[in-house]
Amino acid sequence: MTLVEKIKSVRPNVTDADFMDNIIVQNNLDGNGDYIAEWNHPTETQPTAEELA
Amino acid sequence: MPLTLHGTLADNTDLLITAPSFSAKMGSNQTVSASTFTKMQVNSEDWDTDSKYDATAPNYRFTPTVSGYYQFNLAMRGSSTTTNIVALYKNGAVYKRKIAEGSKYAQLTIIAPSNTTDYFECWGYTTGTTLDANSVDNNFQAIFVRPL
Repeated sequence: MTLVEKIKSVRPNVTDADFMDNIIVQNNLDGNGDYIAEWNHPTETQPTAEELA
Repeated sequence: MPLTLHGTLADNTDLLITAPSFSAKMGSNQTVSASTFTKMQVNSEDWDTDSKYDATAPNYRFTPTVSGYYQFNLAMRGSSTTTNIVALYKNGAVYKRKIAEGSKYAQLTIIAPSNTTDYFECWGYTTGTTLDANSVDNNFQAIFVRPL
């Protein structure tokens, strides 16, 4: 399961469109995988590392 | 109308000689996570006049080192027909981007200022899981336009 899929799983109100502006998930190819670069969602809080584990 | 030159001819000649330009593309398809901004593996150079483009993993970046305004051309083809985005990143953060909705093809042409240490990268986003490497559909290019 990708990070985007995990986020949608624990925050069901997050939509696909949110990942273009409100939530930025990035991968800079440094070997550390996908990560949350920005979280500016107007109503949903950023999941904790435990929630995404 | 008389032509007014600023500086000497030697200065202008030097400027042209030190005006970096490069063109590169992806050498193979890149698997990505859907809806995730990912640095594109632009690792195949067409030209690199001053060796300012680093095509090695995971860098894939242009550091012109000559301050000035540069025109950038970016193009990508994603595997989704829903949403694809190509973005110019400057110093690790998005500078400008182009969203293509209902199309596999996203293209961006933009002029950006650069100092001697700024670097630029080409990033892609698709609601699919592949950035296609077809050489006529993806490119990352820059050329010096004028001094700051």
